[in-house]
Amino acid sequence: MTAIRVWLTRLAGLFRRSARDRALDAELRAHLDDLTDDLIERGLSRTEAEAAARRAFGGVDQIKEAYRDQRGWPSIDSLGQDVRMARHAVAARPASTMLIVAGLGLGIGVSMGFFTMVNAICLRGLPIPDPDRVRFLSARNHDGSAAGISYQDFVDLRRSMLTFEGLAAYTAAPLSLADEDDAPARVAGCYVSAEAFPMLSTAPVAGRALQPDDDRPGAPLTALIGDTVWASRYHRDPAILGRTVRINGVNATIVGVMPDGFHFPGQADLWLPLSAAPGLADAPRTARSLAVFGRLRHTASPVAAQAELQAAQRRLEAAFPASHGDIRFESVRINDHFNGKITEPEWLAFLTAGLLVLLVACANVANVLLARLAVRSREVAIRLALGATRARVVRQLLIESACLAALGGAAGLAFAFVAVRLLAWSYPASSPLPYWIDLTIDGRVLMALVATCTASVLVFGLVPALQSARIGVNGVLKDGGRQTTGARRTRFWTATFLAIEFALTLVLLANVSMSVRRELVDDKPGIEIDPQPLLVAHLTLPPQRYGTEVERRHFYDRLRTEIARVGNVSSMTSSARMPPSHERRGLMLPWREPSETDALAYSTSVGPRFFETLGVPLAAGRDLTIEDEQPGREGVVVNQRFVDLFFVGRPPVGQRMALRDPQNMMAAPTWRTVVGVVPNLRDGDVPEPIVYVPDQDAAASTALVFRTTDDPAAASQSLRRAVAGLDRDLPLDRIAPLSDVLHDASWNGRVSADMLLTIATIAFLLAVVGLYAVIAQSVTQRTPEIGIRMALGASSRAVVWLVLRRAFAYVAFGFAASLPCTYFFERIFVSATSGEHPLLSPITFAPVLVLLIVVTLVATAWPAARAARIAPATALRQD
Amino acid sequence: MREDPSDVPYGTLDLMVLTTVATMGRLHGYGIARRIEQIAAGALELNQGTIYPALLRLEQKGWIKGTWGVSERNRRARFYAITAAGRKQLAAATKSWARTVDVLSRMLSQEA
Repeated sequence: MTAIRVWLTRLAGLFRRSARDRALDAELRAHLDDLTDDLIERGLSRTEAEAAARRAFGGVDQIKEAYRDQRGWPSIDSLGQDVRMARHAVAARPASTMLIVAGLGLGIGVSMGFFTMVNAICLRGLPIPDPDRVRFLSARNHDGSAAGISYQDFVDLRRSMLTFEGLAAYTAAPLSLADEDDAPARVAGCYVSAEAFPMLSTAPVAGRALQPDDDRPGAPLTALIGDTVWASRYHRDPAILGRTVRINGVNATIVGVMPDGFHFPGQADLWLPLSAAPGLADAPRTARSLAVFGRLRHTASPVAAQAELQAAQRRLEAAFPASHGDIRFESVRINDHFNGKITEPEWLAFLTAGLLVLLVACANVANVLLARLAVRSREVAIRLALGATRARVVRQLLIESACLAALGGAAGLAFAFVAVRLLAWSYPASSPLPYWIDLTIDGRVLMALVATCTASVLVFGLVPALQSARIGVNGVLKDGGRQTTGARRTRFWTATFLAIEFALTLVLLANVSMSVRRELVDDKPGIEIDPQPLLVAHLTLPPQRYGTEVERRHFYDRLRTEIARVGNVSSMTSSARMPPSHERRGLMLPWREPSETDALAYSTSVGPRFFETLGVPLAAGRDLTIEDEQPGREGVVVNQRFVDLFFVGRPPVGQRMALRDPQNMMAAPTWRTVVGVVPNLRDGDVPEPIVYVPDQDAAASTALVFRTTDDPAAASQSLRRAVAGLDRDLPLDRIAPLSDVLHDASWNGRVSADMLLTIATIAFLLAVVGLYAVIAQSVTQRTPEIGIRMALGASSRAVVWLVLRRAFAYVAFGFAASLPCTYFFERIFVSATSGEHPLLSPITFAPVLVLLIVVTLVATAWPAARAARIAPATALRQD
Repeated sequence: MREDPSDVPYGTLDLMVLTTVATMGRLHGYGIARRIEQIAAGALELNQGTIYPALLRLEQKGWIKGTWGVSERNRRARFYAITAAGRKQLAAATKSWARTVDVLSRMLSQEA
């Protein structure tokens, strides 16, 4: 009780300091005056009495100090002194403070920028309340691959699961939205059950939510639209509610508008009831296409939910042993489903790269501080001589470092803010990020910032502080501030920090060197498509109208006829995607034993006249035609790499081959005949063996490619008209020149390269500035020594060599240390994916080494020149 | 031969101040210091100022309470009075002090 009381009054003692000091002054003054008056009455003169009173009272200032110590907490009081002192020390050396703050700011800024990205993509998750109680349900196949849940299973689970307040299901699909008086548009959409949005705690801003009644099979079709569609297509007309539009060619009534920024599950802007999803009710239990989630009841635990889910699975397994024997239901937190996995190599590489830059910055700051402390050793020695404890000196210097880290953190925050905004701004509009990825700085980033600053204080501040507290008081004061004791140890630390800096920097530079070489040296395999006359557009045939292959093929035939009439388009083809994506498949060849492990090839589905349209001449045979799509024809085109790998010594055209179905490895493969060979198309560093397969299912979603005879942009209007002529509800979406499409598709690689270049440049600049600071400092410190050498006849060339030698020694250390660092970096991040070691090679390191030598010379030039100009007489007279 | 005045033994000043306030009633710092000197009659070397940190310690513990008043010489001064908790503490401390002195004097007499 008493202890708490004392503690509280002491706490209060930390505040209202000046008022309390005045009260104490008054009290002590009254005491002294009373005492003086008494002494005067006893016959002393006033002067004598005052002196005697002060003697009897004791030292007023010591009493006050003791009183103050008792009043507050001496450690906190002196902490305030230390902070004030640190502020002065930081402000007194603006040049080196600026250097430190800029360096730290860049280091912290880069790592915070990366953390902001990782936070947005891997940590934050969906913006919903109490997200940990919302669980995502899925099925896992026996081979570990994930699947969704079939509609009938969902209905069973929804009825039987009691640990959940309810279950919701959704499936995303592109939709076409058309009005009487407006051209149709493709909108990212989603079929979603009525329970979904209440469970995400999101309600419409206008109109009403989807009701269970809307989700009943056979109900009149209702729809919710997103704010983006409401604004761009309907100009926020409130009369939109109740209006009838056509979605995928079916009449639907808009009943509500969802709030701005809501695009669940990713980029959706149009939502229909789940029951409206085509073919859903008749789908077999093996059609595991739905994403299912639910909010746990407050009384239920995730463990209970899992147990109930397993019980449900056993029930289904008993009822449907054929289809449910080898799947397992599981539930995870919904954000574990949505978030990127922070353990994936690319995110770890991101965070590691950020950390590398931060470490370089810290090592740099540590060196600047060491250099600064060498100059301040006299100040420290005087404080020690006057009775400061070494712990107090270390604390004071650490507080100084903390002030620097706080400034650096503020600079870093500003840097990260700008960098992240730039990144978000540069992201291609053609493929927006999921709505819940918001590249902003939030509380978690700020907490990481504080932790980073605190940790960095220990990384860069501890060694200099401990170093300086070890100085011998006598030595320093006798030597007139030129430190000799401990100089060797300080030099050891300086060399270590520089080596760390250069080692880490060189790891980054080796990466840059490799990617620059790839860019400059045109040894990339294959021929490049000239994108100039090519135009890309996307088409999705809605299953409501084009449910069968025959209907789709019929549409494509009519489309080809229509397009042939368009004036400035000379040919048309299609591909599942543009740029084409390749799927890895097991390859079977007639002369290979079926027992042999499959060879691997990549397949991509393309339309007729693909190579003619793209302007790629065939090396042998012919292009794919419409006839190749017919069952029984099964012609394919392979690339040169495929021929080199698998058809050695055989004429490629006419060979037979088959690709395994990755969905069903047991199915009998379709044997196909090679009808043509194309050169390798440039795609990546090493050409892969590719099989171009005709589109035998007449895929509903396709990228159309048109070769135009004049301006590609001018053709887009006539193409739209041609499609509208066939189906007025069908939008031709994302029409863009192929060059734009390729540019957007390469965003990832481009931005990664830009980021790498930026952080490598930052790290390199820091390292070079660090080297300069160390060398300049050592020249200042060695001025008398150099003076003596010159007085004894050393030439200025010898002096320059003296300075250069030390610089190169530091850099050589760093270079040596960088080789194992690069090795490990490569083992962890590069060879894990490609199995090659391009990084740690002479070709990569030669330009790095040349750059290093040049930059060392530049950084050392000025200090060396200064050393060479030292006049012996002045140097020796310095004391 | 006159003995040199000794320093105030460590830890006893608080008890001296507390007992002075208890016996004399409401008193200012100067009065307390003068009273301790009177009783010590030259046997103690007391820096009068050292009673102020002691007063603060006692006040923080809630054993005395200080209020502003006017001294005999018409100066504004802080007057200290013992609290109920202070009286309890004084009784306990007196007992424990007596025990300590008793033990110590028996040990010292054995030595002699």
